[in-house]
Amino acid sequence: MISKEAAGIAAQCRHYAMCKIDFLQTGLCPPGENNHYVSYYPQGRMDLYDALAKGLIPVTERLVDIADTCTLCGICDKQCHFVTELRPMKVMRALKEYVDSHLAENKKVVKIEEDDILRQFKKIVGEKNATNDPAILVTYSNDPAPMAKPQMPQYIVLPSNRDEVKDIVSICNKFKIPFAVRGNGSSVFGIVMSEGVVLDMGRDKEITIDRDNWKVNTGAGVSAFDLQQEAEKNGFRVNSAEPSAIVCSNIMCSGILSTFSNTYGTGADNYVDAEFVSNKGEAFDLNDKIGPNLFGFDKQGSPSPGICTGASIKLHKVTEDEEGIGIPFSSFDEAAIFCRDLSHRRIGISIAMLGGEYISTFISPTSDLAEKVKTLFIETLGIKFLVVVIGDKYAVETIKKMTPVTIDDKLFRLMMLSLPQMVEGEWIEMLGDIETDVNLFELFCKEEMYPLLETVLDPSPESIGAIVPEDLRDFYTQLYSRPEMTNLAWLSTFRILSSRMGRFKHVVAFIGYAPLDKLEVIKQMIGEFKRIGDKYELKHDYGFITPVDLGKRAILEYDFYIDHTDPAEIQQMLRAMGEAGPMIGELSQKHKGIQWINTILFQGFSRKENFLYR
Amino acid sequence: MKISAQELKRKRDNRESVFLITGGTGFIGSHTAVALLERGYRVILLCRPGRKISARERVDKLLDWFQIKGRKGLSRLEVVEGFIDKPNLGLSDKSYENLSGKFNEIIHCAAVTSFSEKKREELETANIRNLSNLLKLADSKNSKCYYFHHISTVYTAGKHTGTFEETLIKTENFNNVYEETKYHGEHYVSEAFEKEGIMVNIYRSSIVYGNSETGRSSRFNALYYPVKMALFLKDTYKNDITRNGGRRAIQMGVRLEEDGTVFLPIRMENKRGGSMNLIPIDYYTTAFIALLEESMESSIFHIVSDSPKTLDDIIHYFRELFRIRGFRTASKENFNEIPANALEILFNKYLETYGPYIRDTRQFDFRKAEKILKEKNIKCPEFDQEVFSRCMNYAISVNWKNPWDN
Repeated sequence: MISKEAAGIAAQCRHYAMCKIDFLQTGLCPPGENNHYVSYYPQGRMDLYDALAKGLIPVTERLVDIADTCTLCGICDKQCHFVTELRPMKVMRALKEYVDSHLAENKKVVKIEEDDILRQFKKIVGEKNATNDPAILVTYSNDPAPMAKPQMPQYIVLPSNRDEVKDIVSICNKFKIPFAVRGNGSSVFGIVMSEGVVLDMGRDKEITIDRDNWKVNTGAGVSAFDLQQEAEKNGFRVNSAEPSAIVCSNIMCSGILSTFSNTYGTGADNYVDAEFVSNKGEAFDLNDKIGPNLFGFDKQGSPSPGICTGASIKLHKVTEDEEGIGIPFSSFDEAAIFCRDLSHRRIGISIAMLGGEYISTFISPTSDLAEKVKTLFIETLGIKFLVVVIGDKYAVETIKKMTPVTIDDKLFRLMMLSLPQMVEGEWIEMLGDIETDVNLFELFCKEEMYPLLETVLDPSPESIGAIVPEDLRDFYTQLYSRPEMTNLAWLSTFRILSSRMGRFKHVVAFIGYAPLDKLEVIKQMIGEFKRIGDKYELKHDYGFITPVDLGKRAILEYDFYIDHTDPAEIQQMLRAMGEAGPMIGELSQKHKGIQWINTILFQGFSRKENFLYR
Repeated sequence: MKISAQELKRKRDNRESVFLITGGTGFIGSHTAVALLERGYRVILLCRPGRKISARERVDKLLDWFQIKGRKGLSRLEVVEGFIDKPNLGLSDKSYENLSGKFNEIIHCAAVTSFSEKKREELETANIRNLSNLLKLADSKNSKCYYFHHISTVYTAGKHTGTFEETLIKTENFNNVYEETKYHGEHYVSEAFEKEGIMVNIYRSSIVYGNSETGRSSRFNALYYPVKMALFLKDTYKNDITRNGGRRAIQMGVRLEEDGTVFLPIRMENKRGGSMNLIPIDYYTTAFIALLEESMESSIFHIVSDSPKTLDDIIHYFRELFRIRGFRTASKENFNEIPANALEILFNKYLETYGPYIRDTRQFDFRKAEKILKEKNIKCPEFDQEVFSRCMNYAISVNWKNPWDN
């Protein structure tokens, strides 16, 4: 019997793959870590249950093993609730119960016969690491991205090094089987699926710090979180994408973009070297004197040069006095000009100008609280934009001199640990009743006010624990007792909060580059996104801006949100994307410095000079 | 519609004159409506619905609070659900036409009273632009309207120095957008309504607080706000002292004295001179109706107190009632010597907004109103310790919330 409730939860999995990284120090899902296929992780089990509910697969040997190996340890509930508020444990339990009752009733367990091609793959990667079992295949067959149509692959293969990848590609070419490479989750463009072979690079988790050369060598299955963690242990930082993104896949898709791109750069700025297997199965390196020129950029777009099987990423020193600081603004122009000015003056390492939706969603452990925080920030305090800077003590001191009020580390921690008290109660009514023409944040964020805020708000990890379901209270209380959970620099580096954007609905992010010296152009782009979002009745909002190349250009993100299980919304999203694309194309013809993610696809190794200044 | 003084008097004496009141669920509007009903007049309230309830239900709640629900006079009350900011007041053509022939005098209480520049658009709409919708109603073909009573404020004086007389003045300097929009509203009604042959009275009051005899009120801003804030802070620090060892209280210099009083180190900056002109709502409504009934031609009246109170007076009342010490006024020089603490920053932010009314040096001439009120033996009650205590105790008893509109 399929549980309706569990099936409902299972269908909601957004494929953010946060259950594949140990971002909360809970440990990883044990069978996932041992078997590598996504099918053994909570994400895969959610998809499996969804597939069973839809009658897409029979009960196979692998399905029995997947259900059997789940220990119901509860790690997935903690991880997934933190990000999306979903409770996958109900699905894990339902999957086990479904298989148990299938077996108890002596129903058939399908055994999938091997074919010759599979045997050849197994010879390369080992018996366990290649399969044609539908219970594995189905978990690689879909993607919540609206552009992606489900495609059931024939084989899943898990290579662990470049040589294995070479051999797999040769077999694919020999038998004319299409293949796709998969990182850790989903792709905006739905490029992670294939009717032939899907290569899951998750086994190659090698990370080697090379201090003398200020680089870290990264295997093709290393996530941004794991890489950052290793860099941090050694006193460094790398520029990295969302924590669950696989570094090499991320580079192939878009190049590494983050708020640290302000100083660490983008595209080729981030890599020392990289290794590849071409689509023909030949090995080459990024820095080969003769070979494909991946530093170049084709504005018409470019096909994939092959598979990135490893990269050397630049290491950056982290000074001990680094901290985060937020600067609140009530107007877009003021915030953007401030960002640009900081970048021009080389103040701060990471700079991001976040909108109200982002701030409130990131810092709030529940969606209910996030809504209230959004109202508090925007309507009561007047914080429509928050510029978040990570810098050394000199940068922070300078910023404090540049602006009347800031949210420094101390206030940020205080706010994070008292959000539930901040949004409700008598004090907030009283704040709202102060009839003043200045923005209330100018009063609220004054350093002299901190002692009063502390008394009134009484911040504590327990107050966070109190707003989550009872069985997660202790966990949240302990989690928020950890200093990094309220530390802006750590949170900006590891980016574990950003997936909360997808808590309400799946996020389709429009990301690209824009000219930061022409705010009117950026505002026009944002205005157009807004118009399109309204027209197609999609939830949408401004995401963030980060200066690039000393404030000459910027990364701009604008987000649309869809229920990826609703065909009508998917259609609306496709129409919106169909309108947004030409809009950006037209603007990029008129203005220098606009470059959108779809043209950057597969060109993530390009020199930024090749796509930002032409 | 033009009317002779004699006919007007007759109609009012016979209670034939029907009043349309805007803002009838607001503080001034509701008290005015109830006072008119009690004097036997017919009243039509033009009200918006609430978020979840109809206009009629809002009015019923209001009448409950006034404890007059079910009384006989209520048959003379009619509620029209409408929107003053919409064409035809948001009514159907038929309802609009019907309404336009039903009343003779408009009492326009609806207003936005915010001082915030950020709300300029809202204030300009409510306090100026909406007047044209009322003019259209009063001037429509079925209309029998002959009088427009405009509820205003003495603070339309703006930054006018010296004595502000009961006349229209010209000025361009205001303390805030509220004063400015009310000023322009006054000028609009004087010109536009009179042009159509409708008489106009302007009633300018100072700060109106609760009922001096019962303490009851439905609005808790201006005078009430700092008291509410101080009590909140007192309770917060008391809680810290009694439950958490008082570390934060010590840090702030707050302490619990042996006699049970709480010491809150709060100085409020006091410029030399100046006072606060306060009148209770019971006096306001009595005075308003007396002035209205005696008016047979367009006039401007000031409804104010002849005994304004200083910030020190009010702080004294506050300390006495709530057993709080440490609250005091201080000079700017004192703040230069000892910088403001967090509590003081909060209070002085409040003073930035309300300063022009708390430390008011403007003089309000009220001889015209006084002449009529004296004859009727109507005098503004003194705002003393007893009245202060009564009003604050009531506010606390209803948790500082409008009892019918939450």
